[in-house]
Amino acid sequence: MVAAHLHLGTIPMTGKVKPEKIRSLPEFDLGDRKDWGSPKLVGVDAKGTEVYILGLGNMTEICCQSMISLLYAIGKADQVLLVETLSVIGLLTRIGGFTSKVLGLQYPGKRLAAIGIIHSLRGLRDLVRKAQIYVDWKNRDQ
Amino acid sequence: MRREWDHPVKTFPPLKRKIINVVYHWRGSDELGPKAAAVHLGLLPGSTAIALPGKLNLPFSGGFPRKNLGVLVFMGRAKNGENIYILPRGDKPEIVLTVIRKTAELFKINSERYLFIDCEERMRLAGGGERSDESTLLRKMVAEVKKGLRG
Repeated sequence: MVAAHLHLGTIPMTGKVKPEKIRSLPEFDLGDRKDWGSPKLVGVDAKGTEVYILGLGNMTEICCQSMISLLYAIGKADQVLLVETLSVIGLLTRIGGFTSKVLGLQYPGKRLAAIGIIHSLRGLRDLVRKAQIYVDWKNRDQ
Repeated sequence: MRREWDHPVKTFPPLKRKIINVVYHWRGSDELGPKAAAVHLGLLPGSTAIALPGKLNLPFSGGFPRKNLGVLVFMGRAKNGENIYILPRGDKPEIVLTVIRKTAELFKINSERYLFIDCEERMRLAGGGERSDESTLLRKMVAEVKKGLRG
């Protein structure tokens, strides 16, 4: 979700970001188990690329295989880029998410998660930058 | 609570034919899916009166390794025109099927065009509590799927 907002420019790609800014994002800590598997449109960037978020729980690899093979089957594989973000998210964010979602302690959970995301911002920005470069290359190619 | 980022309800044009893609999905650790597809495509006898030989001429015999779970594989087109796919989906079908349905809908493909058959579940139902061997149950299941497509 934060990666999507970095892509869309709601969160800056350089400089410091305060945890309050992360917590104020409309989708922050809203996604839950029933949303898994459903892509959600977050916005459209300046170049017209639609940016989605997709939660897959612990089924990321299997679900990505399914999605990609379906896209190949319907001839749309060139229109979607899946970017896995969980690998750059640190332990603090995971503990925050667990505290909020599983233990039901939203106040400390959200705060921990937001601080964790600030610590992971460098990795997320790097991912987003690479995704944007790839999309630009793809758009030039077509 | 409705969130800003939830998709609006989509409407699709009426289908000319209800189902055009049949997806046999199963855990993936054995060859249940390829076998069901082969029976549906008429490559193995559908009649339970004909015994299946021990070693079958099947692709993906022995099942799929874990790293290849989730891959949707096109197996062929049946005589009545439906496309037959197999999907080794691991232990949790719900989320994988949701991903496929929602991805199809993103590209304005009516997900009702996909008929998902849970092989393990449907074979259990096809048995109706009676004891039968796996290949008999499998062929009963495929016969019911085909009957459902005609109706």
